[in-house]
Amino acid sequence: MSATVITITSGKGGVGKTTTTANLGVALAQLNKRVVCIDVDIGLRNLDVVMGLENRIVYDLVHVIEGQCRLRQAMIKDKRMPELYLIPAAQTRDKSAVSPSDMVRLTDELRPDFDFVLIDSPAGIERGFRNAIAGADKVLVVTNPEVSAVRDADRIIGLVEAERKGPAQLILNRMRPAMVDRGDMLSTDDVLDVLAIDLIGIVPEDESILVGSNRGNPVAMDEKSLAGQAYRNIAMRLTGKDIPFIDFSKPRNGFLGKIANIFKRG
Amino acid sequence: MTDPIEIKGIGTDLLVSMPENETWETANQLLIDKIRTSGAFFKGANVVLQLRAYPLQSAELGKLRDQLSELGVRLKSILSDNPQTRTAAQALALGIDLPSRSSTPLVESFDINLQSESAIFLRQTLRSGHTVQHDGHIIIFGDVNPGAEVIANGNVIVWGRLLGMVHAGANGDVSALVSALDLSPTQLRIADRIATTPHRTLSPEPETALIKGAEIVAERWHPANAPAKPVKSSKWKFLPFLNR
Repeated sequence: MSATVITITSGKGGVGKTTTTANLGVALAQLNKRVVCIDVDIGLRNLDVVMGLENRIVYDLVHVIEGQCRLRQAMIKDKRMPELYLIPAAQTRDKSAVSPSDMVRLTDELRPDFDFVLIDSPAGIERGFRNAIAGADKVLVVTNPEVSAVRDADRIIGLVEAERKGPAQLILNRMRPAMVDRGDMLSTDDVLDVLAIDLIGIVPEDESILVGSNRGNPVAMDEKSLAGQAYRNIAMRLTGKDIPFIDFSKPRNGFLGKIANIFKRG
Repeated sequence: MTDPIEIKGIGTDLLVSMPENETWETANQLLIDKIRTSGAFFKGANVVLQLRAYPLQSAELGKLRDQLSELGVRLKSILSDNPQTRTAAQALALGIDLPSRSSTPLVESFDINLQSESAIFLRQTLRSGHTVQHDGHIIIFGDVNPGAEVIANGNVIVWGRLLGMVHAGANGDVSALVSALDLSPTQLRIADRIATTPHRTLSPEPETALIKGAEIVAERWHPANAPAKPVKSSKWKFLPFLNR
């Protein structure tokens, strides 16, 4: 058994890399996969907060790389899930504490014991990004339906290809169907026209995502949440299942519409 | 001619001594040149810088730290004969001592003696990513935000909100204390025990955390001459799998 190492990256900051990593980690763990999430954003760690594991950090990624602890000691188990672990980033160091070859060694050490290794990349295209994709088998690029985010995603997709980690797959995050219908937001097709890579998921803008991140309870844990369903669908696609995309574009509010939406879920 | 910059290995760190009787600009440049011409020798090194008597402001020290960082060198702490420079270093959360023998905070030690009963006093807010480490006691007049770390071999007193990680008695002193006006750290460590803050509904009050028996407890501060009444203490939840 050998894990698939997936890096979640974006170029632009604030598009939802960390939230996506946490939710995919949870969603994959719910499918009884053995998952470890690694926060590579050294100096600006966040994944521990979003996953609600901040107060259990003793050792971090840099301790592992520098040999100050064993790998297992830095892995924090999320007790709410069957097999979900976090390796947190160091907060008091900077990106130069880790090198791309360190990351390759680390991911290779994790491969035999897991089904998925998820790597949360920092924003930017410098050292931190190169660390994050060094060990990757697959790269997911997160973007928002806005011009600047798409521009940065395009740059990142090019860099991923240059590092021979392509083709990347796309997660379109913070979609607001009502705005798309009014013509005020880039549609899925607009984004795909520019980026020309495979789409693996669309996540709607949803307040519950923010609430979940603030409380350390990723929304994918909430069975009833539509946004959570979007993440669970991406997780299922990552395991090789062919899941149709949720149709957010025509919100139906009538009684019949609600029933239709129930059948559309999944 | 002898090299103006002296370099000595101390444990896993390098002790680098600045030349004497130069202007600071010259000394600074000599250091940078030395590192540039030394190839990979300095890459990834933790450096303790002997600054002798140079009087430096935080800005100058900060600039030097950034220059070093760009060259792949981490300025860990400084040694200085000049009190102004030492204060400037503390404001940047740099150490002002030789590092204790082990750089890992979780060391088990049976001989407990503080290298010095000295204390450092910081009048600033410690933000995320800041670490203050000292062999003696640490007193902070300000808040310690989540993501910041305070590590002392002695006691820690925070006149403010303590929300980050705090480790008192870091070399194994189980009698170490942590006091704060609002004691709500992400994680509280005394010697080799680790606890997380219990969920509390009441508004924060000044408290002191200490080891009592097998537990870490936090006691509310009350005036010493107040009528005797039982001290209210909250029991803190250990992270059992981490305690050795």
